[in-house]
Amino acid sequence: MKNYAISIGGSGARCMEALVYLCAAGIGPQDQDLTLVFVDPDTNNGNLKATVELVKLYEKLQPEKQDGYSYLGTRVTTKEPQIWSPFEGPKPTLKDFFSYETLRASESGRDAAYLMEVLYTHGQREATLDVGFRGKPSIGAAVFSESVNFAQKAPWRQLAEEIAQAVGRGEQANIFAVGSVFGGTGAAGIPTIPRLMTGETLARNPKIALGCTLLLPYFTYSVPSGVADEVYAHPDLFMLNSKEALRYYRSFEETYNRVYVLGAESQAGQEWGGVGGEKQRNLPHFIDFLAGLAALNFFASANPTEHRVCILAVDQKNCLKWTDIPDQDNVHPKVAKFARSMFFYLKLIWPRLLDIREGATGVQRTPWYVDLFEKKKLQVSDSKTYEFLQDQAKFASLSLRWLRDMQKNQGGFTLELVNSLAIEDPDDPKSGLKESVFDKEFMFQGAGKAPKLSRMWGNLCCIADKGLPPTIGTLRALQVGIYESCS
Amino acid sequence: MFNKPRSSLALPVIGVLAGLGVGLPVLYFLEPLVLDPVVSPQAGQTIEDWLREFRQLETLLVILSVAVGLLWHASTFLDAGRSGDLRLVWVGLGILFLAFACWMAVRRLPSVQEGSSGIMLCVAVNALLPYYMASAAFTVASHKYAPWGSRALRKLW
Repeated sequence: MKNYAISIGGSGARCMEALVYLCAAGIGPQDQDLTLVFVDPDTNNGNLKATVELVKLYEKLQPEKQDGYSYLGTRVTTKEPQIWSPFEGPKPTLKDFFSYETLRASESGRDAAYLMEVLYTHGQREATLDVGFRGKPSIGAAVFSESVNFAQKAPWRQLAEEIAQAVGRGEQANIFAVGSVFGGTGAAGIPTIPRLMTGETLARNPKIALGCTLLLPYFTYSVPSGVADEVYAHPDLFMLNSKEALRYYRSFEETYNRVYVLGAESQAGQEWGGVGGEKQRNLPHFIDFLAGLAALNFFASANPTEHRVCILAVDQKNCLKWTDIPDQDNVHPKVAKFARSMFFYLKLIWPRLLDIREGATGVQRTPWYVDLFEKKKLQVSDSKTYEFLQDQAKFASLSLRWLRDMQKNQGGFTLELVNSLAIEDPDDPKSGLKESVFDKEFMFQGAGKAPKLSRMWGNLCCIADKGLPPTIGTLRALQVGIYESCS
Repeated sequence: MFNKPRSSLALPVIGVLAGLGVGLPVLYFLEPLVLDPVVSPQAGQTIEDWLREFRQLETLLVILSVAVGLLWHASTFLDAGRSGDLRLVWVGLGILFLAFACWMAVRRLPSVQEGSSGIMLCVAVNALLPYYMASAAFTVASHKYAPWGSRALRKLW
């Protein structure tokens, strides 16, 4: 089975971030590859860059071979370029991209130029596209149609070849796209890119399943008065844009085998992050989390012959608990275990490793350190080992920050996913991670049954002693040991 | 407070059995062979009588030594091991009990004309060996490297 996830735009990137964390938690396809493709003309988008960095970290931390343990159990890969933008080199205006002036000057192209004038306002034609499509899917659709080339351009060519080979071997290929329908890039890419995929190189094949998540409005922001004249995504128009986009997508209903539709009636307020670029870094939202789960649901049960639309409802209006999460019996324990293991690493393991590295007295006899490091001739001071452990700390910090921010970014919802009081500041484990809260009620549901931090320390010492197969890699043994200590 | 896996509860029991299993045979079978040729009791007391009294006292000390081992296990169960492995506690318990055993030997054993050093050596063995056997190889995982030599000893089982 080959799995591909394509994120389109900034919101798509945030959903991909959730997908990566879910794969780290062991909810992703086990012992299978998942290839991630990022599509965004705004390659500097803050959310996109953060997600790409996260994926790089995941790639560094994942084991070389799948070993049956669920932590980082999905093999995540990316293609070059990691972020695909329809623009090569300097970002043009829409006018330049379609050679509007040349068309207008020539006899044969004048009709096309007039058509452009009808379809796009002067401001839209003149706006530079270095920050994406500025919430205008009509711009994006035109650009994508022109630039996605499955026969020649990377990564599309490699993607098409890989899928064709897999299908040739009798494997099923699951392709999943995610993007918002209320902005510019996602709304333009969701119908366009798969249409190009299935319409060109990858003629519709019974071994290829296509799925997508359509993100309806779930956040909003206030626009400062100074940018009122610019071409940007107007939050006031999100609902209208979505309505029109959905009406348009109906004509492509046969394109996707499964469509997941997610949105929130009560929208979370975000800070204005500019028209695009690095400043556009919205906080994670539970809709991103649900979109990640949608992708995993698709990978687990995609059927190339079906055509379904999936929607999700909550038990109580404007309230989301673990009981509302699809497949919660599987998802909650794994997410909880993942979060606990990341907390455990940052709060106890990483500081102890730093103490050992600095040569503090007595700490060298730490049992799990002796069993997992000393006995295997591994030194914390070794640069490669240290870098790996540091990356693990960074990954743990990002994971906890993501959970905390998702919990805090409630909008008008009451969320009961993670107790954010336990994670005040993941970068300051001593005072920013609250053990008392962690021990009492960290992941809400079934909190009483979860081991306390001290117990986890004891568990790790036991697991490091005799609980891991000798074939497992040395640093992987630490990862798995920590993860399994949280059961 | 209790933060160890349940399977760890078996360790103190095994430790007690190991302490008694090594300490008592040494006391009953090995030490008489060592002490018989070197100890000269006071006039009016035979070596057999002296050895009987020695065994009585030292049996008590072996049992107490194992009990100190249990005290060590109790401290490891109450402590998570996060801030250190309590090696000082382990060493301290051993030294205190050794001092107590020597004091008991001086006070309670019948005095001898010769062989005091041999007797004190046996007293030290009886005080420390059961404690060591009860703790070194069977300490809970979070403190398992606190006893000296435990790393080598644990390889044996």
